[in-house]
Amino acid sequence: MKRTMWSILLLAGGFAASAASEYRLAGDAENDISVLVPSGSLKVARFQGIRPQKAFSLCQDVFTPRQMENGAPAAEWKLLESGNGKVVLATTLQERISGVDLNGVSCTKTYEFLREIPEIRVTLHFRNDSGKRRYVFCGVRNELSLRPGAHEAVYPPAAIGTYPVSSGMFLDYYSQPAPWVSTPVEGWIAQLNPGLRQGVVFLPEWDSLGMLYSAKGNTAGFTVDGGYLAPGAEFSFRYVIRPLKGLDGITTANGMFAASIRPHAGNSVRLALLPYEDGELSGTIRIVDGDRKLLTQTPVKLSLRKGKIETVNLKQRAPSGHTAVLFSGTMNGRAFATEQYCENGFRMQSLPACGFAPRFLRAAPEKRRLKIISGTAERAARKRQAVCLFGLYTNFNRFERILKDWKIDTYSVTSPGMKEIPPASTLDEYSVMIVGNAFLSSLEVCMQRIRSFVENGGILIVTGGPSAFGTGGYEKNPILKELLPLESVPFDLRPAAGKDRIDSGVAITGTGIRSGKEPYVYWMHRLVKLRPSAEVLWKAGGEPLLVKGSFGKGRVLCFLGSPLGDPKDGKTPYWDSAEYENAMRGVIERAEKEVK
Amino acid sequence: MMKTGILALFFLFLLNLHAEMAVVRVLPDKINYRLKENAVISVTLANRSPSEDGAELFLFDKWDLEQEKLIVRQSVHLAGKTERTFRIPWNSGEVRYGHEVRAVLKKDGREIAAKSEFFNVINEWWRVNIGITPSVVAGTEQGDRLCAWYGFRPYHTPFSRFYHNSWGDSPIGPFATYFTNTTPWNMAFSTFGVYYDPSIKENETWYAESEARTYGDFRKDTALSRKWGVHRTMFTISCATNEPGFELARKHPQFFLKDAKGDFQYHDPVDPLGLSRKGKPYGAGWSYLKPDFTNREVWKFSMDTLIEGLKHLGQDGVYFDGAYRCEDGYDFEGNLLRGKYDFDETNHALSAYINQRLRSFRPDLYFWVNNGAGGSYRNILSNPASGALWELGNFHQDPHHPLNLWSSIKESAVNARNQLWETKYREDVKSNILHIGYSNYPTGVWYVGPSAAKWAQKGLKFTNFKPSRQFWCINSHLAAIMAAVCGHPYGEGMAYRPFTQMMTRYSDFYWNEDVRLVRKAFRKFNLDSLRDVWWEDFVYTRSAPDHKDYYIHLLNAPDTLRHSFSTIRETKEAKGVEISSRIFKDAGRLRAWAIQPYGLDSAVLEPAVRSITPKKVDGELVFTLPPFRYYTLLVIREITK
Repeated sequence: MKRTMWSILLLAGGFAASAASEYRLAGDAENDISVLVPSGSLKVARFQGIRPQKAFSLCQDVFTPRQMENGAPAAEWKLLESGNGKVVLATTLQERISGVDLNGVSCTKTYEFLREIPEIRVTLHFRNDSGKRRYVFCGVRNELSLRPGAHEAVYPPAAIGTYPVSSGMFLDYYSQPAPWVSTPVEGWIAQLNPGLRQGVVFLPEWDSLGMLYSAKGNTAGFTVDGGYLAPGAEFSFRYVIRPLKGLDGITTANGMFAASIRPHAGNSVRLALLPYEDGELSGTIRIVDGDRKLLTQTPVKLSLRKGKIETVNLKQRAPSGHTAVLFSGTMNGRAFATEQYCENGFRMQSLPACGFAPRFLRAAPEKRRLKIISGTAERAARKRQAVCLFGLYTNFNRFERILKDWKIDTYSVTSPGMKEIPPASTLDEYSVMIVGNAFLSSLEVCMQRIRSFVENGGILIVTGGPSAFGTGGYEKNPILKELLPLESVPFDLRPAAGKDRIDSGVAITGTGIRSGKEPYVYWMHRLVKLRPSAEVLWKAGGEPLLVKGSFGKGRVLCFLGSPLGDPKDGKTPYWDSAEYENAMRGVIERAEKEVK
Repeated sequence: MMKTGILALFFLFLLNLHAEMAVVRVLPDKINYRLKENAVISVTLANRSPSEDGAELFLFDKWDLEQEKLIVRQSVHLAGKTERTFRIPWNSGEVRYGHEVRAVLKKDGREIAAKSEFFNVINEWWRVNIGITPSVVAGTEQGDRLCAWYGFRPYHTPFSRFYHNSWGDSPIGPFATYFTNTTPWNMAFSTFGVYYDPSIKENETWYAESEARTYGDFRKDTALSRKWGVHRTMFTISCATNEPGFELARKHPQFFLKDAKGDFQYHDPVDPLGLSRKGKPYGAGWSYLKPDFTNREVWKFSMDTLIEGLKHLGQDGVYFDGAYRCEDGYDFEGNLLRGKYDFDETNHALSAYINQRLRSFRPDLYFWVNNGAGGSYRNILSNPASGALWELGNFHQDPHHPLNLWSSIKESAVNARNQLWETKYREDVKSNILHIGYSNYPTGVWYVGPSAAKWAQKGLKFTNFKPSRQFWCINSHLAAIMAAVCGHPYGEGMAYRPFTQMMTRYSDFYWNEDVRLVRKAFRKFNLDSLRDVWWEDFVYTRSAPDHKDYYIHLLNAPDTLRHSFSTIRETKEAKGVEISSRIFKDAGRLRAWAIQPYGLDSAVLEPAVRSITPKKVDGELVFTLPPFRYYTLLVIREITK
């Protein structure tokens, strides 16, 4: 019955869409916003006094990283409803647009204009009508251009503070193309023309997985990971778009205000606040040095009026090194906290080329846990094939020889976002997944899939290296915490024989390794804490090296060795050892039998 | 008087275009000679009439302002509609710095054609260092004029920075932009990236990017540079990149800085699969790892490998794209290095070590270092054969940056010069060579040349460049600022040519060891102008045995407040600008000249020199300058003997 209704609505929408291609969402002296059909995006000619030279486009759909990168075809939307500041669109997603993961999933998109705030509210709703297990990964991107020909600045709230990705020329000059996806530390992303002091900010629900932006600063948006969608299951999320007017930069944005913190006049810091509601703000601005030692602080108490910019100047002698400005407090009883990295105001534009300041790394807050809906329909039979998420030096672990008769699909783990990950819908066809010294930031994009893969009976092999376990920050990720049979700590990758014998190795002993044929390891993750259920299969120098655990129906193998080192002790490093290959093959085969 | 001069020049230009006998070009076989070096000057003459014609050729060596010596005088006869090149041997002699060879054709005692070329005679080649990317550009206004007027053939600017591919066939070599230094600007040559590896064969591709392919290519470039008297410095940067760099980090992870978790500090995202690929090397470029310079093993490794590279690739110096230095980070045990080590002290010791190792290997190596004008890197500058680079790019040219004002660029240049020239580490720092470089342009635009396919990939066409005249206006202002701080330009763009040409010819006035800054110049000189003219920070002096020079650099302030790539219109001329002074007691012992680079519409593409006679007004000597659009160098010479 529901499906019939849906089809009727779509049909009606189709007739409506054929009549016109633009539907007015808002039209008055201050606002002129239309919804375009069939692209489903917004055409903004005026938004609360922001007047671009030429109307710009917002909210283009993104369903796969590949689509985002390569400009694959966009979804075609049909009108369901229009009027009273609301436009509702619908589509049924196809594989060529959204990949196999959303093939056959019905989707509605609702735009609402709320003049009193003001904001544009967008709600996306998915329903799995495909009859098969599906996976929601989607997003929106925007090409904001208030002055055509000039790059507008994108302000992603990144780990070392918020800074504009505005200088296409500089980034092109100094760096590889910037990542499409990064993990945000706050739940917003903005596009702004700092010269005009105009732009927009996107505030998604904190289901958002990542921010996406281009190096040239003209495309920005966000992605959402909705997890698996069983047949008939539904998922929805919402985001709002608010105007930024009067700010020449942005450090934070939330439901209450947007704010910019910038060095000012050489010896002070200026906080500028754009309130989205009337109210009382009470907080503190603190400036800390590179060791997070407090340099100065000042209380801030402001009576804010919606839309009226307030500024606070904080005098501060120019510090000799890097600083961070911390701003926290409450507004109308709701808490906020943010921080801004400053580099003496010299190269604020060009952080990629300046000395990195790890002490200012801010971790992304733990996101609201998604409800995992593990669909069961039509699960594929597992084949002798493996998927390898290939991190630095993974080739030294020789999986192509260990799994020599297997088909191995290899994906490079670029930091911080993998561009080609296997579709979640086909993951269960693989028996083994290798996570080889993978950057956590890259894994995050597919963490839900990895969890589901193991839970459903897959074998996950996690190998050590500079970006893995403790040195990779794996302990910070709740899903890895749940999956792995051990806990690691930062700086756990150490010389196996101790720091004074860095070129000497330690023999590997354990299941499948013959006495007298022991391979050697030179650097390994030490200091790990095993979970009660962990089974140690190999050891090196008395410490665990290969640890097995279970999760759901699957198995997890953690190889704590790393192919680092320059052996000078005449021993055979494990990456040159047939014994290691054979023993590892045996361990995997046994795990395979266990999960069958 | 001035109008007469312009008319005379224009007349000369018309003569050159329409005379039956013409000087096509004058070409020294090097842009930089050592003292007393045997040289060959090629003079190409043309007879454009249908019948045989003859004239008398005079070839002069000129230096300073009015010094000259006849090299040769000979009769020449050419058949109708022919060109002929005369190869004239010459010895460079002992007069250091800028020279000009001027070919003059006379008929019946009357000058009918003339043309010059400019070069330096100096053993310390680094003092006349110019690093403008070689280019003669077809499809741009200047490139077309150079090709048409000077008989140049256009050649590609370096999409491939391997110069034997880009300017190897050019008949004019480095004279297109007057560059004297080529540095393969490439991460691949980083000590911690692809250093010299004897296991790699001469013609084996060891790096995928177009800028570097084989050691054979590298050697060809070196040979080509040397042929033209151009020197080469080896690029190095304190980072590990590409397969060798990451392999080094695999073998010696303790050499590299860690982040707050213990992972390597990555500069940019890297493709691990690409790095592991065999046979088709992956250029990770700026995706690199940072060495830990608190580790003494790293010091030794870096110098061992750098010296090995210098030995095998035959370079004249080293360019440190950023001094090797300690940076924030952790060691593998989680120790925060800044707390554990005194960075300033360690960096100071490190730069002393670098200096000692490299100078022991070859004492005449030239070092230049990005952003190294003092501080804890001062030991690198402790030899006169060293220099510092001020990186002009970044925010100064970023259209979004609030500080991209012309005045900000000017002030920054002054600060950069003063940081080096007036360093508080004068007891250590023995160099005043300030390179100014990395001027940036929007993507693809500096790579001008007839590579339409490459442009098309970027969505650019030839027509994209015409409206901006290859940034003639903004480049001229930038070059004027570089000249005014006695900088050594290092950048890209044909539009710098008038300035690099002038700085080559008059290098003595910019880069002589004895040039000194005149502090508080406003106490000695006054300026009267209806336009904003910058000059107070740009007054220098030099004493010679028989005279004392003052060099006053005058910059016409741009019409636009901000540096903008969209500026097309040229700045309005400054007219009637006067410099006055009361410091000169005897006007009779005074000479003055105004030297100006050629302009976009100039009839002759050579510096223009005009003698100026000061007027005495109310006890002041007043020097009235000819009109100028961007820049004039006023030389006031007081005869002391």
